Amino acid sequence: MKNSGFYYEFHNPTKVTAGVDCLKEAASKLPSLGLHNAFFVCDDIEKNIAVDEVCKAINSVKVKTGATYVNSEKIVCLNSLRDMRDVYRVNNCDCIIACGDYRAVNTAKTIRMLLSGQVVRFEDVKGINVARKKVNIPLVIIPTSVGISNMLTNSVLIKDDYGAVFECVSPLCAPDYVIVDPSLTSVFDAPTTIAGALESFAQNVEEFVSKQAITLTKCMNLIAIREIRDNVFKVVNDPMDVHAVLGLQRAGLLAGSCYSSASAGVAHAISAALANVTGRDNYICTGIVFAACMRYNLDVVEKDYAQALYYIVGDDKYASTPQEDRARTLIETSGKMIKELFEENGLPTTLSEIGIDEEGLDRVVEETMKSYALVTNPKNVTKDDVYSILRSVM
Amino acid sequence: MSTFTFSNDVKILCGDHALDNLPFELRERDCTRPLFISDERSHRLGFAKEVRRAMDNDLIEFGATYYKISEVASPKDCDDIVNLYKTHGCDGIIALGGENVAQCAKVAKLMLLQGVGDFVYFNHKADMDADKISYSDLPLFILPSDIPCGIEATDRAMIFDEKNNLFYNFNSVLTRASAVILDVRLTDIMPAKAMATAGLGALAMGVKGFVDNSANPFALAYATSAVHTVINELLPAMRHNSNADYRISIYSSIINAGVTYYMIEESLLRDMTNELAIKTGNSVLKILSVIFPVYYKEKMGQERVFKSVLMPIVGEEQYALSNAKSRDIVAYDTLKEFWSKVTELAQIPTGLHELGIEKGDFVKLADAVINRYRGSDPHNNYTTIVRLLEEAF
Repeated sequence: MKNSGFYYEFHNPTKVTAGVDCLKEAASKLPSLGLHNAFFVCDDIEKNIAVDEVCKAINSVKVKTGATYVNSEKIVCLNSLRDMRDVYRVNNCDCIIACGDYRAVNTAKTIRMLLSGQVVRFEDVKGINVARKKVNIPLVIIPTSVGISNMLTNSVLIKDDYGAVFECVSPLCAPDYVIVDPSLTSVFDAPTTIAGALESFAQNVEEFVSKQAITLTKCMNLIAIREIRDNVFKVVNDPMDVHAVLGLQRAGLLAGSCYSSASAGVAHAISAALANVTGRDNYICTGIVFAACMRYNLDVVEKDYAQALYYIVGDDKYASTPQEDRARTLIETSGKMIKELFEENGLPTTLSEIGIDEEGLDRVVEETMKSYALVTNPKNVTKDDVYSILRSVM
Repeated sequence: MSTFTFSNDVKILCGDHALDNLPFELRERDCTRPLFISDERSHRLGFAKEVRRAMDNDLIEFGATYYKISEVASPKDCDDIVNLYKTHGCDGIIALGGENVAQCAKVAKLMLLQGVGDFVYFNHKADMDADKISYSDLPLFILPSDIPCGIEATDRAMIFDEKNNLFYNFNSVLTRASAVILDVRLTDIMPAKAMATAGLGALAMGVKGFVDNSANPFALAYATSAVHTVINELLPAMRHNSNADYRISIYSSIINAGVTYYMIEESLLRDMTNELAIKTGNSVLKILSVIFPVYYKEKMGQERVFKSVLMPIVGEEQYALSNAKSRDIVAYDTLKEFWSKVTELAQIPTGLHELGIEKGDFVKLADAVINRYRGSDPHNNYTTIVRLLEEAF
């Protein structure tokens, strides 16, 4: 009996509803999830006009907003989490609803994991599957920006009391329900669109070539890449095009759904490290290093890159590109697309522009090597490899 | 771009040593006294022993065991499971076996969660729809030891009450499994015929899911994955039937195809296939392998667009080179050619008459299907059903 030892797991525990103006109807399902008194997490109540709309929708179905917590930290810190635990308890909340961008999503997922696992010392949850479910606390996420792929993932980032960032992976991070209504996408500007689309694109490409990718996740990634191609420029040109915004959000959902199975790769690891060291947004760091990371993996994933090209360039360009050039064309096209979008919007395209010098490289490399994402990168990544990737974009 | 909802939290564990993760999955759900149910075949072939062995290593004991699930899932099987579960204070179900075991385990789970002690409760309620989106869970693990039927990772289950000639169709999250575990050790070498029938059935479900779920990117991915896998791996799986990798790959494509196929709200094809399967004792996959080419041809003539399904069938290269205007025809021709190749190689039935269905039954069957069908497509009427049955005969 021939058997290569192939094994995979796939799990997407989250229910998703996505559509233009779907909030009201989707909100009507919330009481049946067991939601009564919500702990409402948002990132910026002043700027985020969607918060008001979401509150109205949930209140109209008799779900109370027991407490509202505004947290705009890029990565939630332990002190904020301790505060949140107290607010949640004092107000007798029984569920969590997050409304906002990736910050609100990361914060809500983290506090849900800690409360659901009744974790006493928050700093002890570092690692994989440390917190175990003790109480059921439903978590609903209603994103208000494009391409938030961390909506469906089972991991979160936390900043400890000394400012160091650590990652937790737990099924308790995954929400029960995600409602994606592009009409709520309140920040309509090009950099925000680029940020979301780029994050989602990079994540989909990395998942597609991941060591743990399976046919199902690959299909999701390719559908997502096509959604990004079809919609990113539409949104840049007309930020009010809600259907195009929805397309980008769908791509983010697909990427998030594959993450717990396929994970990510070297670009994810390096950009997270860069964001941590420089304090810059993750998408900027991804934009700077992504093409270099693709180039680094090229020799082992040439066939996959060649296939993915179709979903970026479409019929004619794909058919007219010789087979042996397709993988390189994907890298060049992706690199060019990112560079143009970044330059047009005055965003940095090199490490020196975000303040990384030779000395800073050591810290970035050190942080990168700690990332779980390296495990699933198609090539085994060494410190020297990371130095080499970073120096190529200095 | 219309609104879609996707919900499928069934965990899939697939491949080598997948079974070894069962104790972990049980512990994760605080399940310490699972009820272990199976059928005679799985017991006889030693698959039940494999499950016991996996559990022994982790000192988890079964609350009770039951190896007598009937060949066709019946109300009595469901009642037996519910009674055993309650009597022995179990806190989860492990269902090992074929379609029959999966179906009644799913319905038993629903009965236990709804506090239904006797299947009679469902009498004459033809379709039990879901009315909740959350529920207190009862861990259910489905371990296919035969070719899967596609229903394993869905919210659907079907029970046939032979005595009263009643067909119960459940559609509820309460029937949903916690996990489906596909392990090589629980499968046996399959004859090429059986593999061909199942593969074509999965292909039919995948194509149908692809066409009907185009607005739902998740369901579309499940469909694409199933179609792609069957097209690329069915023939090798038939030719090298001792190759466990191919076998598991086709089995997992059946699971994926089922997710997308059973997600379609209303489907004449599904109602027709279910009716034929239950009334003739053939599997859904077998009926699909015969009836789908006829159904596909019928639908080609209507408005529905089949052109995009060409992509998972032929791949990016051929798709890019094909004429955009005739992609639906190319897809149909390619699929037809593939179908013929598989049926000829495996010598499997291509007409309903070979499955024991008689022409005289068509009126009765069409009546039953049209009574079941709740869709609004005007093409899907009594005349169409009879014509499809005649063409597939």
